[in-house]
Amino acid sequence: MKKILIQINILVIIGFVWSLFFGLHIFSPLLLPSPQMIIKAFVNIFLQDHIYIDLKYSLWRLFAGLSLGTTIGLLLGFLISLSKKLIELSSFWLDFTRSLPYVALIPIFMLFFGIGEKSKIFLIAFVCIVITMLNVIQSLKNINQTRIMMAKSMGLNQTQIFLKIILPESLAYLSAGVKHMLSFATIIVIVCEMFMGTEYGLGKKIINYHLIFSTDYMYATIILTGVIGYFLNKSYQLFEGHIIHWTGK
Amino acid sequence: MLKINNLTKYFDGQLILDNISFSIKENEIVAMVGANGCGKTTLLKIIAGLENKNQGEIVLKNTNQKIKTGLVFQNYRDSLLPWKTIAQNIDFCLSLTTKNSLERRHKLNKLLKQSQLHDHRHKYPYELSGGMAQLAVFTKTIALKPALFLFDEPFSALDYNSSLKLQKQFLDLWEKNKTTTLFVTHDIDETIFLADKIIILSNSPTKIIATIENDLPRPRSFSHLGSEQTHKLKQEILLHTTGFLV
Repeated sequence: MKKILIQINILVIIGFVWSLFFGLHIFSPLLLPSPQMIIKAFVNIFLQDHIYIDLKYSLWRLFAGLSLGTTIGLLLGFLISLSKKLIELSSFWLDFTRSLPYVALIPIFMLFFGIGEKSKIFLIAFVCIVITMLNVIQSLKNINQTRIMMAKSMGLNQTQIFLKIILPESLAYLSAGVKHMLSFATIIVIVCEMFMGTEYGLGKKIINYHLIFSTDYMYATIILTGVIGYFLNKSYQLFEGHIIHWTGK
Repeated sequence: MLKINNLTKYFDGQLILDNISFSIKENEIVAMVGANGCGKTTLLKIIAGLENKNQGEIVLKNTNQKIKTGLVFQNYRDSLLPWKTIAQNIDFCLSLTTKNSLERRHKLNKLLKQSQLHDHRHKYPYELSGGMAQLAVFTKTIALKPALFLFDEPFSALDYNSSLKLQKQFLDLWEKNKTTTLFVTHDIDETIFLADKIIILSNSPTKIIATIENDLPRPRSFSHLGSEQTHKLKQEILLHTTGFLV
């Protein structure tokens, strides 16, 4: 409760300083609208502009890409981890792909899949595949060898060792990757919606408000994406706390 | 029950275990004492089948048990599955030998009571003290009903009091099923308190320097630690390990 009160106080201070800047006319209202204008716009994007439709589209793209990418990434990651040779062969390509600025791939995905839903979801999925594969390979490298030895001495076969020891243990490492991926995928969704052509989506709304100089609405939508990202992260942390409660203890 | 004949092991061309031969009788506790890095853990791994030997023979006789060896490592936290509670950890081991769920539940309750872990059954390993966690490791190893216990310095990660308490708890548990045990350590007091036979190892390449019989009566209690017999045994062990009488 005390922490929440501190955060509210910080918010009030930011609002006050912001209002002060606005009152001093240092920046044009077009560049920096007042906090009151943004709050009003925040209410209006829901009441008048029906932003929940855009929100629905953005979340749908995010979860479709995430589910598809994570599933393929997990399968490929575990498959590659079966052989040391495959890990060696793939490590350069995975490192190279990881280093790519993913937004630079937008034109390629548009060329191959057009400007519809496919290109956006496949780009998000692609990012998730790379991150998941890297996480799976890394997590399997870090598996506790004492537990593997113990399982072998207990007479467990390879499948049992994988299902009962390796898989649950790798969850801890994978989970850290999922958090990272969630933030990454959210950024990609917004950028895709800005530049890949769509009727609905939060990214599209931000660009539209910018083009018609409705900067108060633009700020309100940006804040909304931040709020959504924060709640996604927090929800995942809660879920993680229940599922892999033993990490860090 | 266990017979090791002329066991030899090389690592990258370097001789680690040099012609090791010894035997362990049924229901006996044997301790191997040696300095750190002398190859004690390698020897245990070879007996458990986790490491290959270069020469020699390992014979585990008269065993009908499904699981041949039950390993306990120094690092008790790594020996338990952190995503399972203490009861689930023990039950996981029971599930490998007992398929009937009713029988399994009965065995689990019995083991939890014997090891005095009943009140901690729903706790996760990270919620237990070091001594309690290692006691849970012993209990789950007992649940496997192996033919032979192999312990790799099982008390060394604990403080003196916890270690002593756990040694007594282990002996109380052992008295109930008397599973043949081979453990390695560098703690002489621990060796005298637990073992029937003490094998002293040289530094690398490891050879057997001496084998000492420990006739302290069983069941053992802390009062045995201060006895004249214990003092003499300690001197004898030190004579072999340090080369002079203290």
